[in-house]
Amino acid sequence: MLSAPWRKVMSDARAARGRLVLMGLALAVSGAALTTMLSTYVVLGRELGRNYLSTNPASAQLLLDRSDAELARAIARFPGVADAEPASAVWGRVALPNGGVRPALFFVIPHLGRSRINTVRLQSGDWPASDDQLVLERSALEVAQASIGDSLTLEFPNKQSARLKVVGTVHDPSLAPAWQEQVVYGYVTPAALARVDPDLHILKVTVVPAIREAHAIETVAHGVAQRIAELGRKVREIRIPPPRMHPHQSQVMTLLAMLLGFSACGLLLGAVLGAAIVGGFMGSQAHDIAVMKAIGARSVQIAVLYLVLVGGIALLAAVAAVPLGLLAAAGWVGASARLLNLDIAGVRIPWFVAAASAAVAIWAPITAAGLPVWLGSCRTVREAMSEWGLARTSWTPDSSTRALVRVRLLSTAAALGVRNAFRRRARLLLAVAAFASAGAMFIASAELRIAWSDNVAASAATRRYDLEIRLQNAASADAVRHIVETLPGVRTVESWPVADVAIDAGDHIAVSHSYPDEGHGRITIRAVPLETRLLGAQLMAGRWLRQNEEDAVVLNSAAQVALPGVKVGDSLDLLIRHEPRLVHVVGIAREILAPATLYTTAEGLAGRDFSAASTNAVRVALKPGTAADAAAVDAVANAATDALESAGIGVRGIVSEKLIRAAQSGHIRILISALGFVVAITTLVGVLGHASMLSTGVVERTREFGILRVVGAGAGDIRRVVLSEAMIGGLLGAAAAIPLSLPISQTIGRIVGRVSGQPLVLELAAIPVLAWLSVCVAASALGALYPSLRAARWSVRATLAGPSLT
Amino acid sequence: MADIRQGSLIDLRGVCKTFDVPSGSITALGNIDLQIRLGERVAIVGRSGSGKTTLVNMLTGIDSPSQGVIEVAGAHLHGMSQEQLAVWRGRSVGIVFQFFHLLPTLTVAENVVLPMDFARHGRPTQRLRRAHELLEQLGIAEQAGKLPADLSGGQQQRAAIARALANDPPLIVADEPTGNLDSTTSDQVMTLLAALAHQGKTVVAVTHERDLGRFFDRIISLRDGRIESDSRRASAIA
Repeated sequence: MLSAPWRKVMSDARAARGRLVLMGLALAVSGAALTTMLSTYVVLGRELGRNYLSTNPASAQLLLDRSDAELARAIARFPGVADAEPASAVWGRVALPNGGVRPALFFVIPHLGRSRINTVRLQSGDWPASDDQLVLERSALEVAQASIGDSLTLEFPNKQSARLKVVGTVHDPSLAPAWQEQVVYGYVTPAALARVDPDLHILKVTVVPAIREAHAIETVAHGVAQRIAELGRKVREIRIPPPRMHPHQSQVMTLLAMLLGFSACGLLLGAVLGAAIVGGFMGSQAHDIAVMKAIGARSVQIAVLYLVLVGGIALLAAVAAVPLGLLAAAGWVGASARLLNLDIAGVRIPWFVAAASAAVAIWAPITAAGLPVWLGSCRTVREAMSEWGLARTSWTPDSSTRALVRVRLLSTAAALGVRNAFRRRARLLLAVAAFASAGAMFIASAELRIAWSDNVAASAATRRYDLEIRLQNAASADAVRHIVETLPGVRTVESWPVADVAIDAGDHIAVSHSYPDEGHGRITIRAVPLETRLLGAQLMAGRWLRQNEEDAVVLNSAAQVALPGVKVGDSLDLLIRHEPRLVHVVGIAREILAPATLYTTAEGLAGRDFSAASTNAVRVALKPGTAADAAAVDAVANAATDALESAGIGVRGIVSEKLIRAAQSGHIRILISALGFVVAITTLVGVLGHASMLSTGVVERTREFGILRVVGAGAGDIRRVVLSEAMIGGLLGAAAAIPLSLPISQTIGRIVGRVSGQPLVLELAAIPVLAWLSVCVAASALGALYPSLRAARWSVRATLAGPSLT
Repeated sequence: MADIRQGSLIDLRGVCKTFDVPSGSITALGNIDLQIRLGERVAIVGRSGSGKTTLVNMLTGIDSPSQGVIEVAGAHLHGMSQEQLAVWRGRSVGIVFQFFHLLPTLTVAENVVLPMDFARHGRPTQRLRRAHELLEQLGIAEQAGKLPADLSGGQQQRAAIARALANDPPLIVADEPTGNLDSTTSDQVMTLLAALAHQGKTVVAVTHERDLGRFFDRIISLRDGRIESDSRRASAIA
């Protein structure tokens, strides 16, 4: 049996249940969002690591002239080395059923199915039982347009080909999803591609567990390279991926941390809105509090009563929020896993995540409500009594009301609603803040989508070519150009030879930080024709290359990110095709969404085994009609391959501009959907909070609504008064969202730019702003629905007889 | 009785009002029969709890009877919905309260325009003009653009009277109109109300101040929810 004071508080809560329910809903929604993001952060962080580490990833991969089991056994005994295994990777193409081709990377693995380093797990079907079989990475089936049981035609340089049957799929979590890179990943035995290349060229090495830092691994790798050289083999390159990190780990975790931060802000907003509602609630209890104090209650006793009420609401909200958040997290993690090609062993969310979410969801509203509860509890009896009743002019018009009096509006009812909105400016400010913060996120996420699409389009615009043909070996640039130029549909052919480049650490062995897919972490150097018509990069600093310059390079945007601190005028010690070269940075060019590239002249790229007249890559621009037809583009690619191979020039692979664009578009998908989730939650919190505060304001002016009914206002008139008041919060919030979106957009652009390695500039756009304005209008109308319907239903007698606070 | 009813603006027959409370029910009005003619000036007096406000709430449609029939200005109030009552009230009754009840965020003129807006009375420009005319009649034209908080009590009550007259209703009801005013101002306000009868309006005022009875033609005294006495004065202050 509750004592009288607790019964009073329960009855107060029942009387104000509409507002308190809205407040509870706002807290529950924001709490659920925080739980979702925190759980997702913890689970994805764990699963990314678990998936990647389950493959026992190589600490380093050394590219050799020849690798074998004997060498591996010798290196496995090297100090600091835990294990070593030979392997290889061969680039080729897969012919598609529709006549097109896709680039393909084949991992050649002795004892496929029993490897110890960079392991893959059989997903479906079987391991290859004979040399005419292969397995594909599960995400590559879609890219190859194949199913288990199909036979694929694999094409290699020098007209080599193989027809292998797909007998199974594997899961290789160390790779980005194939659809993201538009590359087919296959796994074969050495015998399957023996005719293409009989030797293995990679030695995979893992270090002992005690060695964890990248520089320590590099030291071991250099030692291994030296030992290999002593054994008579030649080391071309050392690849050391970031230790123990999935290729996308830092990007995903950075983005999730950003979203977690935004969710925390959403909960904070919900708590502050709740505090505003509690403040209004305390105001409505002023008379009762005065009576309680007059008969002996202390401020602390009163404060405890109402804080416990707030705590109860927060607890109920948390009870709803945490399970919902965990459920949403399970869905979110599942969707992210599909996007990242992960296997989630179980969405086991640690108990401390749920506990932390619940604790924050309960603590934040209680803390925020502490001040209004205390202030309401500390009022003296006299102060509290004097606030009772509309007759006593307890509200003095302020400057804003007097200013608004001079504004002529369409109707008196509209004027009433607008001016009422400004009577409680702190509350109006909170409503504006709610709509502004949600709107800023909305606008920023829309701008992100636009900016990324613009980047993809701008990147495409700088790529004024339709195909890039990579050759297996160096060939005469003139010969290649001549062969390709004569093909139907071809407009322009230019020689764009390319080589991997690494910073020379002193032992002339190229060291890169790329992953096994040879995509992430690479820097290349290209010779570009000075009179090129196929590159649209803009010079940001310094100058472009000059004729016959042998040691000048221009960095593109991604190269500048990959080589932090390097600026115009600096010199770089590089290894180009394993030859040491000193180059000078003469310019920086803006190139959007392009891999890290240093541009140089043909003379600059020439070396011991590669002349200025040679090329290993050409770029082809097609005639407009051909370029617009995907099938025609594929036909040209096939024709170019046939023509070159027939001339004895091996083709390593062909990449079309359309494939590049498709891969670029896919990279941002997860972030945009996550931002959309946060925006939706913040908007919902804002709408609920606004509706609740509006309801509080309407209750405070109960008697005024009674007067309106007395002088003839119908239900529709009452609704219009409340609606015009609601619209003020919504419209001001929409306006405030615009300047607030600027720093948020900048932050998101900076973060996304950093994780994607591409500068991203988010600019204010009209469509998102107008869209948000529409959302605010609709949300305001929705928020006004409950309080306006309630006010219109009040009995006139009760509203005139009861106390009312202004 | 039929003759009396024929000229009646207000006709209450067998009106009862009970309120349910946890301890049982309270009869606020018991079997009231009352007719008031056009142009009468009627004071309803009685002690606190006698049912004065409840009776006035019946006349104005603010509350509905538990039993009985209420006809005011040609409308059967007992059968009307809240929505219908609000519309009827705006057009047929002007109410003046003890605490004025002007809306604090509207100017004096806007408070007067408000009932005309709700009743769609005339065009918007005409409404504002009428508001100014009414304020002029009541001697507070210069206060038109001010907010109620800037006015004295007497000025606010005049503004409230102007609001009550906005839609030119046949009936003016005042609930303790001078309860918050000093004696001099009270006399001024009561004089204004009394003068409305000469404009053909029926004025019903609730008051506990018996010395204001000189402003009225008829004084109805309530006690415990029933009419204790109903007397007409030979001469009232015109």
